[in-house]
Amino acid sequence: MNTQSSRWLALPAVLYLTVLFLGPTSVVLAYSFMRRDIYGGVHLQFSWDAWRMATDGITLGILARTVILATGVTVANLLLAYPCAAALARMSRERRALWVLILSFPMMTSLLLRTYGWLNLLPLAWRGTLPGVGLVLTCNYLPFMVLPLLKAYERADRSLVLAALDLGATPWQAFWRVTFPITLSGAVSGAALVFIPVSGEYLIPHFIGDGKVSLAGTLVMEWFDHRHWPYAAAAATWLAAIVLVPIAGSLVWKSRELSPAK
Amino acid sequence: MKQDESSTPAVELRGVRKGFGERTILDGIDLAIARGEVLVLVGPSGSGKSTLLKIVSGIETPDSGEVWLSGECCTHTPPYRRPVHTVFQNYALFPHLDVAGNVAFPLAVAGVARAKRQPLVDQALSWVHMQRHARRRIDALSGGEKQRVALARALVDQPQCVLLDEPLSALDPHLRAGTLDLLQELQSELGLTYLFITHDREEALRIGHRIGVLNHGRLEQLGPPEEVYRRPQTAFVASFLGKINWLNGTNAPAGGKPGIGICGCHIPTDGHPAVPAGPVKVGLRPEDVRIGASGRIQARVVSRLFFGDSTTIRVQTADDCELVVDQRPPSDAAMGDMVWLDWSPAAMHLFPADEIDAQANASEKEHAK
Repeated sequence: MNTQSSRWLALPAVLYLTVLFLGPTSVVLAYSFMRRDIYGGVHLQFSWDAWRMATDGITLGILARTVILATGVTVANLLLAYPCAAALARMSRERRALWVLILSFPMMTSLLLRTYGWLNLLPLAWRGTLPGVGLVLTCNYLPFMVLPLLKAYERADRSLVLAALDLGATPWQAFWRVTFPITLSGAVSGAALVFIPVSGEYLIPHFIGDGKVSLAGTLVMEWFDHRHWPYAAAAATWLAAIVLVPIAGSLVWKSRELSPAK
Repeated sequence: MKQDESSTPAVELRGVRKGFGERTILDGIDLAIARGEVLVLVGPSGSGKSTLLKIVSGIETPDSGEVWLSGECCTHTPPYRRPVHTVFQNYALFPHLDVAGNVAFPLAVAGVARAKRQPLVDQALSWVHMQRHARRRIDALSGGEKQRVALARALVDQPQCVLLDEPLSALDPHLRAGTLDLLQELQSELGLTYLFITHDREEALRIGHRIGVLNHGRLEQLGPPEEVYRRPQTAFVASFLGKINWLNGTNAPAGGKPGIGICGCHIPTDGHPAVPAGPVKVGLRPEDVRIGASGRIQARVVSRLFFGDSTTIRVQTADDCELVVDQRPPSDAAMGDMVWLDWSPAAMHLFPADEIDAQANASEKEHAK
């Protein structure tokens, strides 16, 4: 099959993306430039109102908090996932499969139930705080970091670490100079899988944050509820922009990684 | 790295034992490698040679016994503090670093300043004729090039001993001879010390200053290649290091002089230190038997293989003894001819029959693989 004809294979996906994603996203972007209708919806009139609100100190503060939270959760997950993936990679195939199942089991249960569970576990003082929300998010997203990292570990040749030790690298040097670089692609995938959904998280910040932790996701929801669609649309656009940065970053990194040999 | 007086062995093992669970891998190994020496450990798979190498490099720790490197007891020293480097069978090059980055690795982790690394890396690359490829990626190299980069990486900080773990086994056959030459050249030019592991007897005989034959975790014989090949101390060593015919014989002194009877013929054994009592296994290498118009035993040619510069002839005696004979230059004997076989009594390797049978069978199976 030549490349010309095989292009048509992508047609269903392209149609799907255009109709169900690019279209609605354009509508959201367009709404952010319209005037608010107090009963919900918009007036078909151009207006800067929503963006004037969406670039004020309060909104930018909330966005900054969102970025800090998502970054923090991503870093915490990286720190937790590396030793975990390293331990899993050294297990026998059967034991590893069992542990991966145990690890990903929470993902198969109801998010709502798990979050209510956390409400009982979390000390009262942590409720309604950013670190409290961060803790629950970190726990919730750990499998998304561990699994891609584990894949990277499995691909990586264990004998390379032995070679590094043999050539004089301390275990710490062997990690930073060998293990980390050769598993970096897994860490990048995991970071994208954690950072992107955490930036838009609504449910966990809503329940654990007790309405006191405003984030991009809760912002969109609240102003949608308040029937200020243009502002909610502007906030949603902001959110998309925040998410776009790491996606673009990881794409650029991956394309460099795959560039042809010199 | 520390320079000791030259009489201190680069590597010394004292009573090293290692087992995994019930299985004994190394059963009391004593070994010393002098500075500038090439010691080859040869043995079938499962003989424990790889484990022994890992114990010297520090990746494994012996259950008992001691490892001394350049006069220091290193039994429990972690691998990264030992003055030895390994050239791995699968090369184990770092895929995220280029050629120069790989070679600079031992210097970088030892904290050598960037500016001082460059000349050392260039030098190591020139030893293996790879200086033009310093900036190439590892995945763009051929197998032979990877092997040379791995070698340069192991040599760059001039370790006290280079451990070579079957360094040629992953290479295409036509690259092996050249790589072996390079290893030999570098060893003599730079005065390197090698501990070389292989299951290939020809490699071992060619590069070793001394050869140690490992079998079931024991060092069966240790000595210069010629000595180990010509005067094997066990039947295993005799059959592992080269093709050999095993004949059944008996201790049969004649006229007060020692001798043995094989294939219905009596052969005096004046030159042999001791002939085992009772049934004897007689080992005769195919190249030690001559075919001619006269000799000790008459036999019929049952098959003949022609190799240009030599022939391999299978013969059968009247007593149903079968022998393989290599003749260089080629013999004219044809299928069905009756020929005389002759050999020097000193060429016979004598072992007590009971001790051998099991061992010889095991090694034949190994060769058949």
